[in-house]
Amino acid sequence: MSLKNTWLFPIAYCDAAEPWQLGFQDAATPMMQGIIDLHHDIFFFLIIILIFVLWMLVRALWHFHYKRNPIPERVVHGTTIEIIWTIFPSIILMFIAIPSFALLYSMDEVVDPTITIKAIGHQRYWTYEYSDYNSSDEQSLTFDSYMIPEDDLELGQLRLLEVDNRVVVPAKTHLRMIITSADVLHSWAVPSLGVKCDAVPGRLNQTSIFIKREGVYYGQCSELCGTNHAFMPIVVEAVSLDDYVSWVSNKLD
Amino acid sequence: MKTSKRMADDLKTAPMDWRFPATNQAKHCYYSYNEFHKCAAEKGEHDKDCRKYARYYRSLCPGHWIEKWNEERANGTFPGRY
Repeated sequence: MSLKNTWLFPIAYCDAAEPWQLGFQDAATPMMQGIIDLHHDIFFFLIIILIFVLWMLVRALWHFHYKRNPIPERVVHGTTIEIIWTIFPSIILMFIAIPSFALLYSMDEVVDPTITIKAIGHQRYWTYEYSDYNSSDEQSLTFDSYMIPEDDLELGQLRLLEVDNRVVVPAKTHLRMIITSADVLHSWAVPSLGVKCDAVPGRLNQTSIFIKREGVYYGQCSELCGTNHAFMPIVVEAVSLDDYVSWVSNKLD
Repeated sequence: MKTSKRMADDLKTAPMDWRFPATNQAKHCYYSYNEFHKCAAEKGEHDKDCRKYARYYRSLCPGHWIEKWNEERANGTFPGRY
């Protein structure tokens, strides 16, 4: 959905971690939007239950204080209330489970991808391989992605998040990401895209992404992998299909 | 510009294979690699189907896996049949 009046009210999307951030980053994929909506659904019930439980607690402490109520109650049974406080939470859980399972099963909806990109984790950097264009076993489009050290950052760049070579992908295209590792466990995570996939040596974990808007999305390695675990970020740059094709052509030449 | 248009139409990759529905596609990669070599042994490397299988395994398998298997095949220690 494109907002026709965005030139009147330009929006800056939150696609990277902000200092003191409390909420999610802005969603760029339907999956992430689904996660945010599920979070809102659950949070609604959470607040109701929280207020109810706190109110019961405060009431009990107030009315049964030893000065106000020196002789304690000796109630030990209450069949009706026990049935109510078993059934009622089950109903709440059912309301929570319905959108949760809907989202979970929607992840398994399969669409043939247009592009396959491999992300291979090494200690302290990621390697990306775009092998759809290989005419032989020689890797024609592969590059390493190292974090830009703090001393080399330019004004306006994000500390611990910028990399030298970004993962360029086309927006509004079904992508298949294959995540693996060449040494220890890593995890390829980009919050804006709703992706977190472990990189396990010997496994090729597959995840599908469909990015709905162009932009630059930042993420970080999410599985402890040695001393530089905090210094191997991921930057995904979603561009138009034409720009992607020119980028690939340039890289292949 | 012409190259650009041709490439945009050419964007394709290994399709989803229902024989390998799980998250771990390692078997899919190994199977595709073996399928190419089986096809190459039967029909020759430059056959249309074999080229298709070659594209599939190159898309799915990491470069270092392919190199390792190619070395094993050169040494005669590759565990697959072809």
